Amino acid sequence: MNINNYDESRVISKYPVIVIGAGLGGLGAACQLVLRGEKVLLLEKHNVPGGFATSFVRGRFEFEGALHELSDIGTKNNKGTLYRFLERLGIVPNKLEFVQVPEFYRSVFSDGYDITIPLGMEEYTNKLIELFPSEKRGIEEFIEMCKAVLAGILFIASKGGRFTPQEVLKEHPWIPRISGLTLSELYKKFFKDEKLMAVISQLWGYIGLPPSRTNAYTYIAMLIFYLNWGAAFPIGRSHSLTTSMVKAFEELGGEIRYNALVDRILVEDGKVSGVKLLNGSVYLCKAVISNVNPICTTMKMLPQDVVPDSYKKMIYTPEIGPSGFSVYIGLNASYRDLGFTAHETFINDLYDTNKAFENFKKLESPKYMVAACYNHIYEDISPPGTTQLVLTTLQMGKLWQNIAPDQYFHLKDKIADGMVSLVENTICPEIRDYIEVAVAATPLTYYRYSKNMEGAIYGTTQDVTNGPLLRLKSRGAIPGLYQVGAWTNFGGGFSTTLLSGRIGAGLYLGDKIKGRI
Amino acid sequence: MEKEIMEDVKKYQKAEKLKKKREEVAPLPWYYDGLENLSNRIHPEKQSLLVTDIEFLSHDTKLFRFVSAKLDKPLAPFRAGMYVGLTVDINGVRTSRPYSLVSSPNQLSYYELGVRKKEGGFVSPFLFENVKIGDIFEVTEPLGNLYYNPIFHGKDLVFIAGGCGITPFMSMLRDISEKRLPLNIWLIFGSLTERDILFRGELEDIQKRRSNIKIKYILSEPTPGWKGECGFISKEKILSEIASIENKYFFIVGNRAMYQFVDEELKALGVPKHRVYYEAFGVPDDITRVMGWPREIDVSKKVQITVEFRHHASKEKIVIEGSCIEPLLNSLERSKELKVEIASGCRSGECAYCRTKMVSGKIFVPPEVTIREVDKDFSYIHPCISYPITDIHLDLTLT
Repeated sequence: MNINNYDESRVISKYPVIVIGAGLGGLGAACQLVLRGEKVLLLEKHNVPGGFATSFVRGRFEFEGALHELSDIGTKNNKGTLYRFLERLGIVPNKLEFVQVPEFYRSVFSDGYDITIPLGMEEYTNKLIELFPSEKRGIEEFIEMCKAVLAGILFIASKGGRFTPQEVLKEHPWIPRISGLTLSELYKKFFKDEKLMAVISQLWGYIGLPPSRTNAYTYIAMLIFYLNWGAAFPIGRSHSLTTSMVKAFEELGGEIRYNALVDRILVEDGKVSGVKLLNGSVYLCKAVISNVNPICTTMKMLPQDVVPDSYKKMIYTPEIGPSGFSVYIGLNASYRDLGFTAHETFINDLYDTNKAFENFKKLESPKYMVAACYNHIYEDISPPGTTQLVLTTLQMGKLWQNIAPDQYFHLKDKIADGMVSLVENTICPEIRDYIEVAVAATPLTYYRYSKNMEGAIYGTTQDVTNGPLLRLKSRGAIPGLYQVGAWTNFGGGFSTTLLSGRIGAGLYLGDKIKGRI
Repeated sequence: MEKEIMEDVKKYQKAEKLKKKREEVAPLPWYYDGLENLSNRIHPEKQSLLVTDIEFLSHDTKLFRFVSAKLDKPLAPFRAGMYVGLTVDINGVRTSRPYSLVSSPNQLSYYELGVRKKEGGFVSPFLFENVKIGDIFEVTEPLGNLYYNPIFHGKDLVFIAGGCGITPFMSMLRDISEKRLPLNIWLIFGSLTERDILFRGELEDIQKRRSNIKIKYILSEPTPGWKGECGFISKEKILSEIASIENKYFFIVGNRAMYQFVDEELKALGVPKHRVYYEAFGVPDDITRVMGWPREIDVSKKVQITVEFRHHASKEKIVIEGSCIEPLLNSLERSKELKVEIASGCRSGECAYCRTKMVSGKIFVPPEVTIREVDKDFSYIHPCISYPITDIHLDLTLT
C-alpha cells in the first residue's frame, strides 16, 4: 500500500493523460488529444459510449436518447466548426451522414396559435416581419445585433485567447454588453410585442431558464449559430455520432475501456498521479480530464484535503440547473396522418414563460415542452408506417430527492400521462389510440446514466452571473486535473459540450508545452 | 449610444461582482446527495437475497421467498410484471436466468419467484433440487417492460398465460386486487393438466372477491373428469371469453410455441399490433425451429470461439468450443480459462447488459430481437441470444 491506498500489483499501465467519461465532453477532449498526437486512455463506466448522446431499444423501436437538432454542422459551402472537427477526425463526409432540418421549429399554444418558423437568416427575419409587421424596425436591428455578436464570437475564437477586454469592447461591444443582460432586458431594446418575444424565446428550454433569467449572450449565441449554420441530425441517431468518434479516436491511437467506473483520482504531492477503478485496477497518469460533473469529481473522487476551499465554493455557488423529463413514444401510425407537421414542435400551455418555469419546480405535468418527431427528416428511424415521437420537458431534479421510493413509478406515470394529454389537446387528439410503446425518463433516469448532480442536463443554470464568460472553466481543483462537459465553459447542449472537451484538451496541451505537467 | 453601451457593460461588471460575493459567503456543504440515494434505492447495481421459504406450487414448480440479505439495503421497488436476473453458481459455472417477480409490488419486505423445473435444463433443475433456506443469491434490479402502462393500455386488459407464464400475472392480479384498481381483467390461463394449474386457490379467491377479474382455465391435456375448457387458446375461445376485442390490450406470457399460436389467433381476430405485448421470449428450447434459422447448418457442428480479454495488466487470448445451437454466452460461462465475468440480465437480448464486440464470425439471432442500428454497423452483439453459426472472434479487451 502507498499514500493513495491502492494495491501496487493492480497497476495496469501508465498514460500521459486519462479522460474520464465518454460523454460528449470526454469524447471532444479525447479526440482533440489524439489529433495532436497524444497517447490517451478513455475510461467509460457504461458498456456504450456517448453519455446522453445514445439510443435505446424498446420493442421494434430504437429511440434517440437526447438529440433534437445539432447545431454548428452547416452545409458543404458553409461548414460549421463542429463539422470541420469531424472532418479532421475523418468521420465526415464518408463515415457519417447528416440530414438537414428543413424548418427551425413549430410552435403551438393552447389558444390555437400555431406557427412554423424557418431557418436561415433571411427567411427567419422575413417571417418575423410578416408575423409582426409593426415591429419591422426592431426585428431588423435585433438581427443586426445577432450578426454583430456572431462576428464577435468569431473574432474571439480566431484569437485563441490572445486579446484584451478593451479590444473586444472597442471592436465588438455587443459581446460585453449582452453578457450582463437577461434576455428580457435585451428584448426591451428592440421590441414591444410580448407575442413576438414569446416566439423568439421558444428555444428557452434548450438553455433551461425563462428569458427573464437567461443570460442573453448564451441565448443569442445559440440562436445565431442555428440561423447561420442551420440544424442537422446524424443518420443512425446521436449514437452513431458518438460511436464514430470512438472509432476515429481508436484509429488515431487512443484506447478506450468500457465498464470502467473510476472511483478515485489518485494524488501525489498535490498533483494528479492516476486513477483507481471501482474494481481495484489502477492506471497511472500525469493529467486527468474529467467529463464527470465538477461536484462529483471534486467531492467524491478526490481526497478532500487537497481541494482548496475556494474551488469548492466556485463549484457550489452557481445554482444547479434543471433536469429533464422525457416520454419516448412509438406510434403504430404514420406521422403524416397524425398532424405532426414539423421535426421540432414547442408546445405551450401558456405564454408566460416565468409561470411555465415555476411549474418545473413542482412534481406536476409541464406547461411547456418540446415534441420531436424524427420521421420527417429521417423516415427510417422507425419501421415503415410507424412514428417515433419524443416529448421532453424540464424539471428540477431536487424534487425527486425526498419522494418515497414506492411512489416513484406512480409519479413517473402521472407526469408522463399529463405530457401525452398536452399533445392530445394541441396537436393530435387521437394519439393514445396508436401508442405501441411509451417509456418515460425522469430526472432520476438522467442522474443514473450521467451521475450529473440532480440529473441536471445542462449543468449549472446559465443566468447572468453564470454566462459563458463567468462560468466554471476547464481548470480543475488541483494541478493536472481538467473539467469538461456541460458544467463548464459554454454550457449544455451538444455542440457546446463537445467544444468544452476541446477547450479542456487545449488547456492541458498548453500546460504541457509550458512544462507545468 | 456610448452611454447605453457603458450601462450594459456595468451590468456585466455588477454580475461579476455578485458572483464573487456569492462565492465568498457560500457555505461549504459536507455532503451532497444529488439523487444518489434514490438512484441506489430504485436502481441498485446488485441485490443480495436470502432464501427464507420454499413451497411447492405443483409437482414440478416451486415458489421461493427471499428477503434482502443486507439489513441496510431494502429491496428495490418494482412494477407488477417485472423480473430479476438471478445469478447462480453451479459447479463453478456462473450464469444467470430471468425470473418474474410473483409477489405483490405493494410490499417490499420480500420478493417471491416461481421456478418450474425444466427437464434437461441447467439452472431450473439446480434451483428446484438444491436450493435451501438460508442460501444467498445475487439478483439484478427489477427489469422488464411487461407492466400496466396507464398512458395507453386503457381499462380493459386481457392476460393470456401459459403454464409458468402465470407468474408475472400473479403479481399484477395481486396489485390490481389490493389497490382495487378500476380495470377489467380477463385472464385466460392455459395449462397441461389440472394438477399443473398454478396458484389456483389464490386465483379463485381473487375472482370471488373482485367482480372485475374474470378467469378462464384451459387444459391442453385434460384428464377425464375435467369439466372446463380443453385444447389450445384459440380465437374462438378468446372471443367467447372477452366478447369483443374493442379497446382491449393483450399481454401474452408463455412459451414460444404458444406465442406463435396466439399471435396468429389475435391477428385473425383483427387485434392491431400495437395492442399486444409479448414478454421477452427468452432462449428458445430449440433454436433450429425458430423462424429464419439457416437450415443448411449442420447442427452437430462445433465452432471455435476465440476470445481476447484482459486479466490484470496482461492481455490473454483463448479458444473455446461452442455449439451453433447454444447461445454464445453459455459457452463463455462454462469456460474455466475466461477470467472475466460478462454481466447478463434478461437472456433475451433486451437489457443489453452483455453487449460485446465481435471481431469476426457470423451469428444467428431470433427475429424478434431488436439490436441498435449502430451496434449492427460496428458489430456489437448480445451473446446471451446470439448463436454462432461459424467460428467466432470476440474482443473483451475493451472492458
